[in-house]
Amino acid sequence: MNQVVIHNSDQSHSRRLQVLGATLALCAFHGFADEFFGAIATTAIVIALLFPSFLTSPKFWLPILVASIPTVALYWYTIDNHKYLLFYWVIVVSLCSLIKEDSSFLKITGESARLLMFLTMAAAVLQKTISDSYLNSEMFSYFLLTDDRFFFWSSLLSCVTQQDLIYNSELLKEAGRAVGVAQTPEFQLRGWECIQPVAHTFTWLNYLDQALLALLVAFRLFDQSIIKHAMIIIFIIGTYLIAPVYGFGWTLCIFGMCYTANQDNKIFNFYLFTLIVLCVYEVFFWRLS
Amino acid sequence: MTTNRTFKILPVTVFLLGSLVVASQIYHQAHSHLTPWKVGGMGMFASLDSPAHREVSIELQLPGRILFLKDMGQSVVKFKTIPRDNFAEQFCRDLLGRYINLSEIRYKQARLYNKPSQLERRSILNSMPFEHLTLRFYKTRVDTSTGRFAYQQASEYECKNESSRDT
Repeated sequence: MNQVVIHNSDQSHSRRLQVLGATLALCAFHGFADEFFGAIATTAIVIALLFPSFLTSPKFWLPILVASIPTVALYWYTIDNHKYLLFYWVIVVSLCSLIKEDSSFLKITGESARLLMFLTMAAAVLQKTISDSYLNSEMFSYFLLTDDRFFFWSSLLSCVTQQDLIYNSELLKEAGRAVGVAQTPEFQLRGWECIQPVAHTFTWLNYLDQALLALLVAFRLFDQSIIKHAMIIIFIIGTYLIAPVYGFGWTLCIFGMCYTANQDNKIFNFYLFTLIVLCVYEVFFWRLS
Repeated sequence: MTTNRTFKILPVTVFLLGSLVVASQIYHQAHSHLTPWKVGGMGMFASLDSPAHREVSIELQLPGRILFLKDMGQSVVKFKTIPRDNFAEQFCRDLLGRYINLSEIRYKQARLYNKPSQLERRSILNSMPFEHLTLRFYKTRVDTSTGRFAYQQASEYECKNESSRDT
């Protein structure tokens, strides 16, 4: 019996360190695009590497929280939504660093992660429902034809050619230059008919998937089920393979880790592994290409 | 092992903070043309109306001619995100303190500078006798049946130049 307690205590401590380490890495590599915050986060990583015991100290995390506040206050209009999520998470981790017991730390961060994951999915579904350009597939049709992050998938999954996509990119620039100088002319995107089946599929898959995840997380349904967490992981990998907002993918992985940290199973490790997969994908597919 | 009550309410408190931000964002979308993509509403990829698909034109009407000014500063970014009157006023103040070289005009467009120059003739905007300085804000509109798109004007703001009124 004592051996089991020690094992769980070790496991709790190890998972606490992994959650904190992943959060610190998120702050340093995908944190706020502000030099002051960047300097604080980078210094924090160096301190954590040289003095690992500092990682669990409130003296380590409270400066990171303090540095994030002016950044959010000054740049509230330009920072992306997942940076707001990062800000909420920094609040949680910084305050929870005052908790000495590892299992209590994991319990509170786990519940926070669950609620923030629910907030993210539910708010996204709400925004898509009230939008005048989402459910009619207008948004995806337009982005698949004009945003170069989607070009690989647009040409792979539809009859749209690379030439059409390049033409559309140039058309957008021309439209921007014409604003105000001339009467607002109309422009015709190429490949509109071709892209409709793909746009409709992406629209509804994304919408229904996020709605389902919001429900599963909100009501703690199938919490120990591998299938539920596999759906979340597939959402992370699938969505961010196509539209790589890496900071968001990392944040969701950390939320998943915290959500499952107090469970005595391997699901926590799947989220940790997914985080590493995202790093490898980012380095080899985007930064080196 | 017991967890302090303060920590127990932390998850709900942070959730309520996030919810308040989302609710506020949705309110400003409806009332201030705030883009769904920013300010914590989780509306990225929920709408075509992203800052990258909005445009702003700055029209300077001088006696006898009209110029369009190009500005890449933070004021434009803020105005594109949320074109409210108070941000338009801020944008105007920022513009009036910038410099323009009237001999550098191409296709009715002129660039704005942050500083005067010793090498070329640049005039500060608020010293020029312009008739109107108008900010126009455009959103992308798409015809979903054909794929034709255009920038459609959504609002307009007239900048006031107190010093030029006296000239």
